[in-house]
Amino acid sequence: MKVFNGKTAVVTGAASGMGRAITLKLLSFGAHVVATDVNADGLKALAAAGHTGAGKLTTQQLDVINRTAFTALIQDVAANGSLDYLFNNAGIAITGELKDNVESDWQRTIDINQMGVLYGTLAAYEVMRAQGSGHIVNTASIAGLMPAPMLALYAMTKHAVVGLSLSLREEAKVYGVRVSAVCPGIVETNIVGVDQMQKLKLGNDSPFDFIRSKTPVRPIRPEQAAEAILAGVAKNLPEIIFPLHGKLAVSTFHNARRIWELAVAPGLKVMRGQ
Amino acid sequence: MKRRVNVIGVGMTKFAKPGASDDYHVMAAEAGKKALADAGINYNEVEQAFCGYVYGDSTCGQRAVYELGLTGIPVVNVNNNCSTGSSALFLARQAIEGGLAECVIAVGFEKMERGALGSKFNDRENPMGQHAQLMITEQGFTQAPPAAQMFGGAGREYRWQHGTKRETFGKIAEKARKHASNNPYALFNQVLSLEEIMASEEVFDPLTRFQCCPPTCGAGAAILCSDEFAKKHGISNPVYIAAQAMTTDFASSFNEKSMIKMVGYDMTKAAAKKVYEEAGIGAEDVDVVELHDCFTANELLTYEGLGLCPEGGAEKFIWDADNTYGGKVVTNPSGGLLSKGHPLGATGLAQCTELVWQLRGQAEKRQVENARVALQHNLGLGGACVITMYRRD
Repeated sequence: MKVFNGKTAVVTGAASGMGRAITLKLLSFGAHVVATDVNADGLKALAAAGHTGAGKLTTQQLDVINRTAFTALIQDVAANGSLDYLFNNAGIAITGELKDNVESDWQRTIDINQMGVLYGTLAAYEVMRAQGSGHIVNTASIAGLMPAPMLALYAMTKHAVVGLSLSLREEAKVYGVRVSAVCPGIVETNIVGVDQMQKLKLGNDSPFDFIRSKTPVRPIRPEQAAEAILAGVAKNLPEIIFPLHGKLAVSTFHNARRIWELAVAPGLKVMRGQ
Repeated sequence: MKRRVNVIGVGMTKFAKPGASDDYHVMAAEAGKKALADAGINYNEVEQAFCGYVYGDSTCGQRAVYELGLTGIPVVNVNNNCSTGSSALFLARQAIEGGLAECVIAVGFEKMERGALGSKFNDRENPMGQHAQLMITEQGFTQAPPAAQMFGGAGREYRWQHGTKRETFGKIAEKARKHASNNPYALFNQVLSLEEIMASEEVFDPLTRFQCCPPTCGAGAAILCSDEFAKKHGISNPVYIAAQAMTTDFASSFNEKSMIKMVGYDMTKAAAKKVYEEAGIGAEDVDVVELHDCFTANELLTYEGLGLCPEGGAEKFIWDADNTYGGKVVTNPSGGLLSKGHPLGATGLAQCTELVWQLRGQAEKRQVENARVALQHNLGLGGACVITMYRRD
């Protein structure tokens, strides 16, 4: 995709999952990627793995909940040429019934998924307004467009990200700055950690195998997700919703609520071990 | 013993867009006649002709100078890509300097087609195959015009090394348009704002459309002679060539995995070094420069290659307006290739024409005050770089 050629992009949560895939794809399109993650070892591995793309990779450790550090990084990138894209991708998911979530669960989820995105957005919006150009790409989820039982905290913050992004999108037009919200369906990443998974009563299957074997939903690989995200960004879509199961889930929720409820119920039962 | 080489006559046509110009031989004749009139000599006093063009069948040079006269003199056709014009000048200078002739003419002309440059002979090894290979390895191949990918890629490499703003490149185009607005020979006389330049369509980051030179038709000519010849014709205090050098690719063009090196940075640097040494005059004493701004990225790189600013200092040099009137050195007062136009064969001689006018104080609204030392830089991928220093006492 030609639009990324020569551009500078900051990606958060770049050491694994979709962030890593977005990073590698951007590099293949000739972008300069400043890859950040809280996990320094993961970043080292990313840098050590090398890439064959035409772009340039820089890595820098960053905890998105550290507003000062996040702002400094964004300003530094912009001062050293330009900041063309910010992919606010870092996020976590804590599963389980809300009644079982504890205060630290709420706090971490809000800090990373919501405040982290806000910090990055505010910092990037400032430098991009000055540039008169730039694109802020915030990773939400289909759980930002519809409910996600057993992931209520996650859904809360992802709704916040959608609300923030699409509101700012309209405000930002006059400054030449673009804002998009990425709303993936189920992608095979480690966002829900192994310990988290064990809370869900899925037996010994990997969660993605479980989904594949027990439901019609087809989880996609991070590389496929990155492809869809960058295609959507290139087209400057407001919400980038993918893959098909994600689009269907959202539209069913909005247009055929009863069917959506019927479809969700058996899954909930399984996760509760009933 | 090397002899001094004087430039006693110059001339050029107004540059035009493809389809709007005369045929090549008509343009070349116009430039040649202007140069002869400027020198105040007759064509039958010219002993040799060096004719530069890239696009055309064999012996276009003869067809062109036959318009000036049929005197049976040696006519050599020269083709060196974008540095064709100054390559013809290089041969002409050698003939005088080496004592092989007293008076020669260098003519450059080009009738170009619309659109980006492409190759014409696709059934054989591309002369830029090695250059293209390095580019493909380093940054892949896109739909953008190949020359824009090469120079744009070098600009990108520079940006990523030095953290340069895109607008810094745009500033060069803004300056070029401003200078060209005072040049009646330029293709574009319309000034453009930095905003307009930055908002124009992206060709290859960081290059936008207005940062790429246009295909152009035109011609230029120069008459070179020895001191004796000048004296015999009562020409006093002519502009002369203080030093000239041509370089071609070094190994660094291909083995340093650098787009900046591939587009000839080291050719520029080496030729400049030779010229400064031979002339005994350094970059700091140059008053006016015509340099090869086929793309803004190359002008920026060339500031550093010529030593007009320190390596890594181009951004400051540009924003401090050290590259224009009132600054350290006026670069491309003619508007350069970006705005005057770039008819490949003619460019080197049009640069020469501008600088001779500058040194004589005949550049009218574009005149650089007290211009004593002028530098010409003409670069072609493939590759060749010719740098010429002119002086007038």
